[in-house]
Amino acid sequence: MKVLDEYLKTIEKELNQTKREVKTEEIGFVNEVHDGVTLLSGLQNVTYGEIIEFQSGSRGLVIDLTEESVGAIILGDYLNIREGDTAKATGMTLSVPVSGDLLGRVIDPIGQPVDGKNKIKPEKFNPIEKIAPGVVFRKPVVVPVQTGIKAIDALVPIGRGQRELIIGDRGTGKTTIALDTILNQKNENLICIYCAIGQKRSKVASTVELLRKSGALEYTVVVTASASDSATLQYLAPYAASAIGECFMEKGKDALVVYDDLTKHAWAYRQISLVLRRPAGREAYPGDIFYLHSRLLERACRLNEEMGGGSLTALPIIETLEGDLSAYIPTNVISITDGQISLETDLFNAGVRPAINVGLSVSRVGANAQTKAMKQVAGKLKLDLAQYRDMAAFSQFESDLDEQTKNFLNRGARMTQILKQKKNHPYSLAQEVVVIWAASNGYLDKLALDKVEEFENKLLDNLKTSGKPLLDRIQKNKKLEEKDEQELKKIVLDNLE
Amino acid sequence: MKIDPTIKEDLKEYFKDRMRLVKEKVIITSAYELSDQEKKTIISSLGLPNGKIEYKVDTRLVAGVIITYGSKIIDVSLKGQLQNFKHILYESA
Repeated sequence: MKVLDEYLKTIEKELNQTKREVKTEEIGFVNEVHDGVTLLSGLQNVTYGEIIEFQSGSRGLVIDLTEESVGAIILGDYLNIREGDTAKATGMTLSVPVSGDLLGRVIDPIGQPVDGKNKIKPEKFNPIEKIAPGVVFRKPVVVPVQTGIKAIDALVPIGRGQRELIIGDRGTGKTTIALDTILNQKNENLICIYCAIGQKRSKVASTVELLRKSGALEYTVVVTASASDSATLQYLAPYAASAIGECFMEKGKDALVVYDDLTKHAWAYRQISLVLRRPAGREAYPGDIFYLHSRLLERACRLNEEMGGGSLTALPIIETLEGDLSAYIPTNVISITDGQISLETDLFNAGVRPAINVGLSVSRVGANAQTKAMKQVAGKLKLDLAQYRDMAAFSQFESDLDEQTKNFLNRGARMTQILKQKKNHPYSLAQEVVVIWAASNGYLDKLALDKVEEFENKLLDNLKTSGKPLLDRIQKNKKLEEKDEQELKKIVLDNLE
Repeated sequence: MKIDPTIKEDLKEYFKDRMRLVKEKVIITSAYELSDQEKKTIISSLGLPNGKIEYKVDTRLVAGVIITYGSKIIDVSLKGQLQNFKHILYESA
């Protein structure tokens, strides 16, 4: 009631004023309505990216200006828009409400909650489209993102501010890698944003449930545009997620955004472009499909101290068909990102999970961000695995092999075994270091392959109890000192018996 | 059948001309029939070109006028104000 009183007062005041402000508004008329897209006439002074408001109350975003008409994508429901309706230019650009309240929430790309809880109280509005910070505002990536996945932290390390692509066929565990990374950020001071694009609502619900159960939702924001939402919302979702991430980055915090997945995002944009009758290029994608992803991923960065020192890490996901990395969208995104984690169906079916193809996966900047402890053990691991891959081709004729080759093969097989990891079961840095140390120093060479997992579990259990001080020390110093190695050696040998 | 390109050009010109006329057309919609004096006041206060102005009456406006000029619109009707008010109330609730 108080609010109403205030309004009444303002109205009274305005009515008493002799001179009233007359505002000229810009209007247009709806000529055509397609799937989520309208073409309008009029609106002669509208700008690109401006919000327009339809007679029915729905809003649209101008993304096409031609000589005769204006093309706009409709945010939300487009079924109540009819031909001949008027549309008003509002002079605003599209933005999302951002605030600390967003943590633990599930929202759609325009900031409306979809988890059935209260409306979000915005601290401020961040524009959805924003030019990425320039070169002078950035600094090199040196702080790691601890994913908690042995294979990634050791072989393709990710730094805060990096863009690392996760690519693979359907059902190879792409989302699992991204979610495990989120689960591992509990005490890591990294705010996570999970952006689901074109996914089934049931899958989004189970993802949110998993995050909630593991206590990860309290530092996570979920932005979702599901398969049943319009292509428009799917197109806007990653930009909205990025805008939310930037809000935390500007506060000097570290943020991580998972775009799951950009293939569907490209499909949504292709649909919009075709409906707008833009010329189709390769695979019917429009000409600016590269820019679509490059401008999104370029927003991931590490800011320098003057800008607050925050960072935005991007983990885009791309789904391939039949492992074809040379298709249009995969090659585009591979070239934009700072490396990729390539997942393979064959490996997945062979029981190597996470199914990371070590040969095809790279991280172009992450090595600088790796902790000392991990660098100490991972160097050997990389070499062993590379030799293993070289020799693996000969493994069919094992009887003819010399002793050294047999040793390489033996070591490689154990390394591959040790990099396997159950899903939703992230490791701490110390646990990773200890396990990889044991394998790369050859303590497992005599162990039967199917006993490796058993040994690993036993070792970790033991370390949790009797070796706790050692684990804590490695975790704290992020370094493996000589005395630690001596102690570790004793524990490993004890467990081998 | 082939169309002579000159005809095409002429057609385009004609179409553009018509579009221009539509763009420049001024429509004044009011809640009741305006007196000459009122018309003059509106035209002079807004600096509109005299002549090709279309007057319409729409009682749904309750009071005031709406002036449409090309893709621009000046809404000083009571209906518009009330709609605005409704919108503000809805947004802040």
